[in-house]
Amino acid sequence: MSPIKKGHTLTGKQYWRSLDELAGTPEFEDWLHREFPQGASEWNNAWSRRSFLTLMGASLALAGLSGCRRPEEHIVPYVKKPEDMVPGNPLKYATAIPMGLHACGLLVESHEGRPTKIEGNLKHPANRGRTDARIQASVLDLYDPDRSTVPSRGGVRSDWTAFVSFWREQFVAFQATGGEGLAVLSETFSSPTMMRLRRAFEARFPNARWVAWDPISDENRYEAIRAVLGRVHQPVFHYDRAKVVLSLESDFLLTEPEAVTATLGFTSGRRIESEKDQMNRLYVVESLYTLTGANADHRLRINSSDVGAFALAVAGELQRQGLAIEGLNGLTVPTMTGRAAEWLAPLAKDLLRARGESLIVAGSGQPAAVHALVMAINGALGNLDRTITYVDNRDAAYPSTSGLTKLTADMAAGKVSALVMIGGNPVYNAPADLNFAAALSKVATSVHLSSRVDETSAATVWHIPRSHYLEMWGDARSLDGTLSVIQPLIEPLYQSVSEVELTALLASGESARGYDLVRETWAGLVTGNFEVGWQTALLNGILSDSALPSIPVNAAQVGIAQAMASHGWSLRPTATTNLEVVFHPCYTTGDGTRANNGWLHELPDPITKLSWDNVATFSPKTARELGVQNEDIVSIQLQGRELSIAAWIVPGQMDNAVGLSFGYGREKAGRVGNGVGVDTYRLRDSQNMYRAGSATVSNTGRRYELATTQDHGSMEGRPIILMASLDEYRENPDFITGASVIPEFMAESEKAKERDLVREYPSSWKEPDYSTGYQWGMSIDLTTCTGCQACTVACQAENNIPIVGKEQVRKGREMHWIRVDRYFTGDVEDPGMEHQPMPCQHCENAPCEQVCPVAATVHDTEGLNVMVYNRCIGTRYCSNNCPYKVRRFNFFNYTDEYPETIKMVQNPEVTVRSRGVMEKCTYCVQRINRGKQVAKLENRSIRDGEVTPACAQACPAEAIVFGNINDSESRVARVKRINRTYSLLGELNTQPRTTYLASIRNPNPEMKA
Amino acid sequence: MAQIFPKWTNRLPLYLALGVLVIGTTVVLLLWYYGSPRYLEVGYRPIQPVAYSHKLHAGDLGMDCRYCHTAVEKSRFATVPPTQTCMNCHQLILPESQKLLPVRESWATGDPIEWVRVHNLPDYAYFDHSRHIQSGVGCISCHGNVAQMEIVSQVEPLNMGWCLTCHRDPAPNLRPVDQVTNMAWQPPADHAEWAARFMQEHNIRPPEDCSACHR
Amino acid sequence: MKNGRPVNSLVVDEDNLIPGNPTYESITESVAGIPEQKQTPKAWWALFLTAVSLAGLFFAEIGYLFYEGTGIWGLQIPVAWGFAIVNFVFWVGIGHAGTLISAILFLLRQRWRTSINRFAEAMTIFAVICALMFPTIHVGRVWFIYWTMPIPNQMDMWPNFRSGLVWDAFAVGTYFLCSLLFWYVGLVPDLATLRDRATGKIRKMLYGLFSLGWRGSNRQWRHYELAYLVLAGISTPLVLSVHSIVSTDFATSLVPGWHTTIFPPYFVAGAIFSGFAMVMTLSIIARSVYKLEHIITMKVLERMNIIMLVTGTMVGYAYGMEFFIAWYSGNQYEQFTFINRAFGPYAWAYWIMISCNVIAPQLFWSKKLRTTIPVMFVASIVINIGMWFERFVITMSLSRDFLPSSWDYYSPTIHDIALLVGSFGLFFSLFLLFLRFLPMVAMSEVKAILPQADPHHHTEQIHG
Repeated sequence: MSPIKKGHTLTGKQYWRSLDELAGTPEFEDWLHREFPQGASEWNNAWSRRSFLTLMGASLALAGLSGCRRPEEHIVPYVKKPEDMVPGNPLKYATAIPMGLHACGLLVESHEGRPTKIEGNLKHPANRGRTDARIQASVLDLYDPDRSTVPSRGGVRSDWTAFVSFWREQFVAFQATGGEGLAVLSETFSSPTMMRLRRAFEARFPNARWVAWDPISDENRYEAIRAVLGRVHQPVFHYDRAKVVLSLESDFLLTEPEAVTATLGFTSGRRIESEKDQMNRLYVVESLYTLTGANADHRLRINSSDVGAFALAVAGELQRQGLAIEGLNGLTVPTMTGRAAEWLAPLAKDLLRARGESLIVAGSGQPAAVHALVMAINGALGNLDRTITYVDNRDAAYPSTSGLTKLTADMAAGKVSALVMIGGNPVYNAPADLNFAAALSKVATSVHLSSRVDETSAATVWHIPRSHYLEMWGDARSLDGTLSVIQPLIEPLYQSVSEVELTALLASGESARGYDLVRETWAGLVTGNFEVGWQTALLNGILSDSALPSIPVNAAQVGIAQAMASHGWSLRPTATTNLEVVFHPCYTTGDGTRANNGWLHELPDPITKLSWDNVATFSPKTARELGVQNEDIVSIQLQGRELSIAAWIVPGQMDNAVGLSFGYGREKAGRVGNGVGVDTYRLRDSQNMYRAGSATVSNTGRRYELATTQDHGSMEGRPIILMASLDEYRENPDFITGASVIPEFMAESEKAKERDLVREYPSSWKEPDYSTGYQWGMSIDLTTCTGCQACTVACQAENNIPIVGKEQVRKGREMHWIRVDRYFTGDVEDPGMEHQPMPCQHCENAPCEQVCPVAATVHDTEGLNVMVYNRCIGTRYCSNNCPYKVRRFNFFNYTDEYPETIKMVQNPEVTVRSRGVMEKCTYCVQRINRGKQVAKLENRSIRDGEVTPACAQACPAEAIVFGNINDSESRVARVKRINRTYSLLGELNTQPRTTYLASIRNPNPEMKA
Repeated sequence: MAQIFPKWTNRLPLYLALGVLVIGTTVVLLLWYYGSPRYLEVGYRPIQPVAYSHKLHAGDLGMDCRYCHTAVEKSRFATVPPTQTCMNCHQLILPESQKLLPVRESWATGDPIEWVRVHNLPDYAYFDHSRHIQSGVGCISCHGNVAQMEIVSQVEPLNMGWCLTCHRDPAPNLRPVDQVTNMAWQPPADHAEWAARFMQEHNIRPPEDCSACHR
Repeated sequence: MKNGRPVNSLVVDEDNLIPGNPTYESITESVAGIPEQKQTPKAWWALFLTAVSLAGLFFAEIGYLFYEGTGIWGLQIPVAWGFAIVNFVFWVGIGHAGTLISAILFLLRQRWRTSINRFAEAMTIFAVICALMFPTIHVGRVWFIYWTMPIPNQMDMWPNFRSGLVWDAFAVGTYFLCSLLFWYVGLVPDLATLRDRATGKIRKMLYGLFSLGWRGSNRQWRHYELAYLVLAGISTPLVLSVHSIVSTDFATSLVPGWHTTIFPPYFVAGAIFSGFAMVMTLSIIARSVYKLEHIITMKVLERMNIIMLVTGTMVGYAYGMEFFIAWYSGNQYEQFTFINRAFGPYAWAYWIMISCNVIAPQLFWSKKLRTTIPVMFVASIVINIGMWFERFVITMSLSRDFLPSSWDYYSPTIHDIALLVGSFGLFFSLFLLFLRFLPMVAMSEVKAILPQADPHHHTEQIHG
C-alpha cells in the first residue's frame, strides 16, 4: 500500500492523504489503545524510524531479506508529481493562526506535503516573524492521534452528508419560526468570513441568537470600553512607543492573548547596544508572580482585589502632582500603606515625566471599573492615540459572559430546542454555578464542532470533527485589524470541517467548501484585480495595508464615572483564614483546549518550573502559617465548593493568596491530557471569574509527586547571570570583567574575546584553525530575554525531540535541548527573578569531546561541537564532564512508541535518536547545511541572517542572535562586541561559542528597590 | 609412577599456541574480507518490478540521466521518476508491450510502482546529490557505468571509509560540470592541473567533518 | 644466628612463621586434603547455592538491562554515572591486594605472604572479572562496545585516545591477563602434587592436564622460579598503574571533586586497603572452616592488619588533603563540593565512609585488638563497606556541579541494588569453586619456608 494518493487539487498543490488508509490498519488501532508516551521498549534501530518519513514522501516497505545480505527496501515514487515540489526540499506556505480576537501570521514548512514546522511570517505586523511556545506546538495538534475522525450522532459513527441532510430538516423547521429556540454558542473570533456568515445566519433566523464566549478573555476591558465609549472598540497597545509601562496585574508578556506582539514591542524598548542607550521602565503591581513581574524593574506584590484601590491611589497622587483626571470626583482615594505607599510619589512622577510615552495596562482579571479608571488615567496622561489606539473591528465577535449566563438559563428552562456549539468546551470550562451540563441535557438538538470527542461532545447529540487551522481555509484579523488568509497546507486528515464551513451550512442549509466561502468574502475586500490581489495575499499571508485606522476617542466623563461608581475601591484585608484565590490561565495549555499536546505539558512553567501538573501556589510565609510544604495536597474551600490539589511554594507571591491555573484535569482530552492535573474550573463561578475572596485552605496530609525540571532556585553567589542596574552599568561599563570566580581568568577570556576568540591557552593537541570559513556563534541577550520558552518548543519541533512523560521528567531525564533556567535573586519572601536560556555552548575547548572514548562528539572546522548519534555508544561521560549539563541521554527508546500520526510531524532532516545515545543542541546543523546547499547552487557564500536556528527564529524578544563570527560585519559579531558580552563559566577555559549579554534592569533611582 | 599422558603431549601446548595463532589470524582476515561492504554490498543486483533497461535508455538511446532523475541538481535526492515520466513516451512508443504492463496499470490505477532500492545509504547519512553534481562529481564515480547496465547493480561499496577517500582527495573524481552525466567522458592528460584549477575556482573543499553527513 | 641462617633485615622473626614444626607431609595433607575430600561439606553447599542464585540474579538483571536500556537504573542528568561505575571501581580495588601480596611482597621477600598469596591471587582474578562486567554493561549501546578498541573498520575511525575510558579498557584488560598468568604459574607445582595424589581417573586427567607435566625436576624448578620472578616483575608496576588509570576516569574530568591530582596515589592506597580487608574476611573464614590455623597464622593476620592500619591512615590523609586543597585552591566550586560532601544531601554517605575507613582501622593500634579474630573480622567487613561508599561519595560529586539549575538527587533503583548484590554472588560462586577444587594455600611455597627447606638445616641425630 502506498500512502500517496492523487489528492484532488485545490490550488495545484497535492495533499498527503495517508491517514484514511492508516486509520484502517491494525497497527493504528493498536497505537490508539496504547499509553503515550511510553518509556521503555525494545531496542529498534534509529533509522527505521526516520525512514518512514524520508524518501520523497513515500512509504518504505522493509520486505523479507533478499538472500542473506540486506533487507530489500522499496522506493515508491509519485504517479503524478506535483509541479512546484522537489522531493527533499521543503516548501513554505504563508498562513495565519487564529487566536480568538487576535491572529499571528505564519510561514509553515512542509516536507513532501506534511507540515512539520511553524515559523512566523516576517511580513505580518502582529508578530513580525516571531512566535510563542503555544503557536510552535500547534503543529502537533494537527497530528494528535486522539482527534475524532468522523462525525458521530449520539455516539454512533455517522458522516458529514448525514449531518447535512439532518440540518436541512432543522433548517426548514426553524425557517418557519424565524429561528425561535435556535442558538449558536461560538468562541470569540475576528474573521470577515465568519462574521459575514454569522450575519447571514442572523438575517435568516432573526429570532435565533448567537453568543460568543471564551473561558478566559479580556471581557472586562471591553465592558469598560463599552461603558466609556458607548460601543466596543479594540484597544491596541503600542509597547514599543512606551517609555514607562505600569502593569496592573496584566501578564502581557505571557498569558495575555497578544503576548507575542507585546513582547516584540516591549523588548524593542529595552534592547541596548551600549551604556549610552535608553531603556524603557516597567512597573508591575500583582498578586501572583507572573513572567511580566519577573521582567519588571519594580515589582509590587499586593492583593489582586486591592489593585483597583492602588490604581485609584496612583490617580490621586497624579492629581496631587497637578494632573487633571476626569471622572474621579466623588471617589474617596484609599490611603496606601507600606511599600505601596512608598511607590506612589516616585511612580506618579515617572508617569508624568513620560506623558504621552507612558502606558498603563490592567489585566484581564481586573474588573471593568479598574479598566475604566485606567482609561481615564491614560487619557489624562495623553497616551491615547500614542501608546494606545482604538480600532473599530466590525469582524470581531466579542465575548459575553452575561450572554452565556442567559443562554444557559434559557436552556435549563427548555426555551432552547437546538444549540450549535462552534468550538469551545463549555461543559468543561463554563462557570460552575451555571451548571451548563445539566442545562445542555435539556436541549433536544445539540451539535458540537470540536477536534475531539471531548467533555462537551460527549454530552451532545451531534459531534462534528473540527479541522485544524493547517488543514482549512479561513481568514482572521489581528488586534490592529491586519487581515490574513488562513490557507491549508494539507487536506483534512479526517472527515472534518472548519468553523467557516459549518457556519455556512447553518446559515444557508447548503454545504459549501471553505475555499469558495473565503474567496467570496475577499471578493469584497480585495481592491483592484481580484485574482492578482488574492494570489498576492496568499503569497504574503496578509492583505497589504489592511490594518484598521485608529479612531479618535475622547473618554466621555459620564461613562467613566458610571463605570467606576459601582465598584468598591476600599482595601480588602486578607488572612490565612480568609485567603484570596487568584485564577490564571496556564501558560502552556491555556484554557485547557490544548491539553492533549505533549510538548506543552512537558514544557515547564516559567515560574514554578513544574511540568505535567497544575498546583496551588502559596507564598513562603503563607505556606509556613498554613503548615504546607511543596507536594502536600491541600483542600481549598471556596463558597461551598471544594478542591484538592498539590501545593507549591512560590517566593514573591502575595501573602494570603492562592494561585490556581486553569486548563488541567481534563477527562476527555486524549491519551496525553486525560487526568493530568486538577480541574480548577470547578471552583469558578460567573460572579468571580478571575479571583475570589474568603477562601480557606487545609492540609490533607496526603502527598502528591510533582515533576520539576529545576530543583534549586539560587545562584549560590556564583557568576552565572551577570546583572546590573542601568546606572551601575553606566558608571562601570565593564562591570562584567572580573565578576568571575577567578577574576584573572575572566579577564583573560575577556581579552580572548576582544581578539575574536583566538585561543588564549596553548593546547597540547593540534587544534583546528578557526580563522577561516564560516565560524558559527550565538549570542543571547539576558536583558531582553523574558523567559517565555518559545525557543524550547521551537527546538523540540525542529529537532524531533521526544516527549518523555512525567515520570521521566521527575527522574531528571527531560530532553529539551535548550532549557530556560530560572533563578531567584534577593529577599526570599519577595525576590526578583532572572531567566537564562541554556543551549549547548559549543565550547571551542569542549570538555565533552576529550572524554568520549569513541570520538562520537568532536569539533568540526566551523566550530560546531558535533554530536554523532550513530557513533555514540552511550558511556555518558560527556554529560558528566559538561559544566553546563546541556547534554541529554536516551535512557529508553522514547520515540519507539510514537503513534503513526505523531511520526508525521518529525523533521526528515534530523535523525531520530534511538535508545542509548547522547544528544544535544546542534545549532540546527541541518539548517546550516541547507543554507550551504542553497548558497552552493547559487555559487555564493551564505549571507548573514540566512541561517537561523529554530530557537533564534522563534524568539519573540529577538534575544538570540546567530551567525558567522568570522564575518566582523555579521550581526552576531557586532553583538558579541558589546561590552556586556561574557562567557558563562569562562574561567574554565571552555571558550564557548555561545555567549551571553549581561542582564540590565532600569530601576527608578528615586524609588527604593 | 605410571604416565598419564604419552610423551608427544609435551609438545601439545606448543602446537596449540601455533594453531590458535594461525586460525585466529585466518578468522580475522576472513571476517575482514567477507564482512566488508566491498564484499557484501558491491554487486547487489535486485530484479525490478519493471524490466527497465538503463543500457537501452541511457546507453543506446543516449537519454540524459536528468531526463528521469529530475531533482538531482536541486535536491538531496536524485528521485526516481513518477509513472508520468514513463508515460510521456510510452503512450506512443510500445503502447501494447507486455513489459510495460505494470507501468500502464500504475498509470491507470494511480498506485505507484514499487522500485527496489539499489544504492542504499543508512538514513543517518545525509548524502546530497545536488552538491556533488554542482562540484563536478560524475554520476559514474558512485553508480558506475549505468549506461551499460541491463539491470542496475551496485559497483561501489559506499561505506564511510570509501566516501572519505574521495573527500580527502577529490581531484581524480572531478570533471567539468557539464560532463557529470556523460558516462563516456575520459580525463585528459592534464587532468591533475585542470582539477587543481577547477577546485580553486569553484572553491571545492570537501568537508571531512562528521557534521557534513550526520545530523 | 640460629641454625646458622643469616637474618634478613626485611624479614622479622622468620623462625616460627609456621609453628608446630609441621612436616612437608602434614602441610600437603592439610592443604591438598581439602580438594580431595570425598564428602563435600554441607556448609560449602549452603554457601555455594546462595552465591550461585545471586549470580543468577546478576545475569538476569543484565539481560533485563540489555532489553530495556539503562533507564532502569536511577541514572539521570546530571548524575549520569551511578552504581555501575561505583561497583566497577570497588571491585578493581579489591583485586589489588592479591597482586600486591603475590608480586610486591614476593619481591620484598616477605615470606609470611606464602600462606595467603594463593587465594589472594584467586580473589584478584574473580574481583577483576566482576569489575570488568560493569563498564561493559553500563554503556547505552553495549553491542558497539568494541568501538573502544582500535580495530580496523569500514568507518576509518579510531577510538579517542584522549579519553581515560580507553586507557581504562587497556589497563584493566592487561591487569586481568597478567594476574591470571601469575596465578596459574604459581599453581602448577601444586596441581602436580594433586595429580600425583589423585585417585580417580578424571581427577588424574584434569590435574595432569593443567599441571603441564610438572615433575619437580631441578630444571623445571629453575624455569619456574624465573618465570615467577619475571611475572612478579611485570605485575608490580600494574598494581600501581591500574588503579592510577582507573582514577583518571575521574581525575581527567573537570567535575569539582573529581578534577584533582591526588587521585592516583589515593586510589591505589584505597585499593590496597580494601583488597587486604577482603583477603582478611576470606582468610578468616577459610582458616576456621578448613582448620588452617597452623598455616594462616595469627602473625600473618596481624601483619595484614598493620598494612590496613597504614593504608587506612593514608586514605584518611587523602580525605583531609582533598579538603585542604579545595580550600587552598580558592576555587569556590571545589570548596562548595567538599562542604557539600560533608553537609549536603549525601552527608550520610560521607560520614559512613569516614567512620568506616578512617576511624575503624585505628583500632589496630592496639596489639590486643589486632590479634583478636572477631574484631579484625568485623573491621575487615566494615572497611569494605566504607570503601564502597568512598567510590559512591566520589561519584555523587556529579549531583551538584557548576550550575545550580541542573542540581539533582540520584537515588538507586531496585535494579541498581540487585546488580551490586548479584556481583557479590558471582564473586563468591567463583571463590567457593576455587576452594573446593584447587589448593587454597601455595603448598610448595609454604614448604619452602619451613626450617627443613633450609639447606643448612640439619637435625640433632646427625650431630648425634
